[in-house]
Amino acid sequence: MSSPSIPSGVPVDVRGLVVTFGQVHAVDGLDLLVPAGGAVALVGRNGAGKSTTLRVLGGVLPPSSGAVHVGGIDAAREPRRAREVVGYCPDVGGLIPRATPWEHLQLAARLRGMGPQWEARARDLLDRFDLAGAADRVTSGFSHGMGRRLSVLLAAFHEPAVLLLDEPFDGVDPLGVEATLEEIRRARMRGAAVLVSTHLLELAVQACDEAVVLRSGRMVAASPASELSGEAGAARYRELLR
Amino acid sequence: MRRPGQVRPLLSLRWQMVRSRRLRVGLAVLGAGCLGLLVLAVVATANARLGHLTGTSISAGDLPGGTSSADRTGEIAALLPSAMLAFGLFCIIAPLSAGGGLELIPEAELVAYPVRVPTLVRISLVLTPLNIAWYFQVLILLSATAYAVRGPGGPMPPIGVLLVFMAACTATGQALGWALVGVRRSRRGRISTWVLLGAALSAAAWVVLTDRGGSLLDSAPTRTVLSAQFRAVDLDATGTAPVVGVLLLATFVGYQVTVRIAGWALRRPADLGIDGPLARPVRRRPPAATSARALHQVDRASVWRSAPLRRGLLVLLVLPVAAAAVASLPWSSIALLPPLVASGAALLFGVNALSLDGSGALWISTLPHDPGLVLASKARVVAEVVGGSVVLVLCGAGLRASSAPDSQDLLCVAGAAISCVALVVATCMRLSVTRPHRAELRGPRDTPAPPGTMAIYSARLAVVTTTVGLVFSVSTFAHQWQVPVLVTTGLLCWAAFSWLGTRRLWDDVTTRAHVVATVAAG
Repeated sequence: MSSPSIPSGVPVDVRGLVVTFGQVHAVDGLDLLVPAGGAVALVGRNGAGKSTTLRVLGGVLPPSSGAVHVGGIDAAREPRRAREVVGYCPDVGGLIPRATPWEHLQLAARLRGMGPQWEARARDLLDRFDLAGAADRVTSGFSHGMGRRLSVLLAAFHEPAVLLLDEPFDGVDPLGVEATLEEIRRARMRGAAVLVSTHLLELAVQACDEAVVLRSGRMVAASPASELSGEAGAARYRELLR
Repeated sequence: MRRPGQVRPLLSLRWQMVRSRRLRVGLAVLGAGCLGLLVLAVVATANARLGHLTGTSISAGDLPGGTSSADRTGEIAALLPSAMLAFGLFCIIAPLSAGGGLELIPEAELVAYPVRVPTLVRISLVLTPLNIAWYFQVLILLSATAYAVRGPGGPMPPIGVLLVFMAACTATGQALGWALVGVRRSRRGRISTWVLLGAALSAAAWVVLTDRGGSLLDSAPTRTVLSAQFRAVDLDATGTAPVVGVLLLATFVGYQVTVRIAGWALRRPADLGIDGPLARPVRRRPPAATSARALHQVDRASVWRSAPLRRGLLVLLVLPVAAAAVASLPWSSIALLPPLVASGAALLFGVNALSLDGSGALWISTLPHDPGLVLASKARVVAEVVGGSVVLVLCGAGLRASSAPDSQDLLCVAGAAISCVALVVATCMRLSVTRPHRAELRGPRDTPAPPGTMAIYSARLAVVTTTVGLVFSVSTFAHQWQVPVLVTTGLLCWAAFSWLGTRRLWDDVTTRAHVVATVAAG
């Protein structure tokens, strides 16, 4: 996370983002910058605007106002180009119920125009996320944790410049959490910007170096993630949520 | 202590869940209209004047002069047992295809509440009239009874007998539907049902090929019901009471058996483990050459891997083909089949085609692609299912048609098929974009939209497609090839216009975001 004075061209550059649903302001004037190789945790209560922010960055939802750039591309004006540089793991499901993981990967490879090397990358990811044995089973038979792991895998599949993970650790077993943390590390090492929305504070601290606390669609604090660590950090976080 | 009833609170909750005022008004109008139509049909047919001409003495030349010269009560009464038998069969097949019966609220959403099995059964019975095919059969049977069964008692006594017969059929049909749900929870049960279906189809084919359909219908047990209706209209209570008593007993026993079987079926663990269909690996396909094909592959698989959709399609194809084969229809009637089949196929998933992606719609919308491809792919898969069903049914009916077709017949049937498929696909895509719903289409009773909405959709589709079918049916008598060609061209233009409007709606990013958020809601 950086201050708004950092020039545009950074992978995630959000200025004055507003998203309204009828009379409700889900996001209300949010400024957010994530540099290349940086990882920012979005934390806050339910309905704080975390998932809505990620959906706008992922190109699912149009902003009501404000400027949103991903990888230097205006997400509102050029949504298709913006999607090329973004990998997004939604907060709920995000999987086609009667398609298999391999079919998800095939579809992603086709629509993203990935070369023939995609199969090797897909096999490697399926192995690392312990999904190789379920690669040809329809996802509607998956457990919640398996579904989460596959969603993270699909977001990271094309090695995007911007990796958006919404509740990636929710209901995931320790090995799955390890695989997700490893994928975040790898993404940062290749220079990608990572944005993680989660309620699990300790994992947010492990995965990210900066944390942004949202409340009612607004940023109420931005600090090094380590400051939210431990008992003292948790107490401070609780204070910020009130 | 008597436990509080659950049916009324659940019906009330479902009504409150209909947020759209327009939809509420539409449902109320539809309900009142359907009830009014039943009353009107009974009053009109019961008071229809009868002439002196009967049976074979009526010729086509008598018809333009007015219906008052004809008395068709004998012919209609002779057909009533077959019509009642068809209704009875429908009452068995409809719950079989619906996985037991209709659901007010999806099972998964009620899992936290202690909803009792009798409540589920009663709700399913209450919702039965929402099935438009059931309603049309009731309308036809009531009208035919009021017209054909006349006497000093007036229309109400025979209609009373008919209503008890309908209640008995509806209650016992649900028992069989739930039994199938329970049996199919195991691999052995699924194999058994396929064997049973094969045996039933073989028996039906044997009846058709040996021309025994007529003699079988002549000995239908429903003749006893007709005989009770005639006794009822003559106010012969002693002749009517035994049949009515048996039917009432069948209704009561049918309901009790349904409750017990439904309880057994719902308690039975499904073998979703290592042998279950969800755990079975599927064969990998080679990568698609284009983005459009890749999306289409996934959409097609989403249809064929859904158990309720497969079962619905099977019933939809088997029933009309069997009925048309038994009846040996003239080509003017065959032209009426495409509307019937096209509407039925569309109601399986087409009216909410974008829900095929489920929560995956959210992920797909983050992939770089032309959003129009997603809509076109869904339209293509709906067209495949609707068009394929229509072609198969026409082939089945054509092979057993009462006469060889002339060029006019072929033009009209082809026009009806093409127009209906185009109009139904265009209507489905419009509804999918403007009225999306979250639908899993996974469980045996899952439908693409809530029951009230499905009733409105089926009425809307039925009105459009039946009108189209009637136009082409009448066109078979026109002896001018220009008529079906012009009608087809006009209807195709209408469908194209509607499709272009839907494309424009889909191109709007806010509309798309609303659809995706709705179908992906977890």
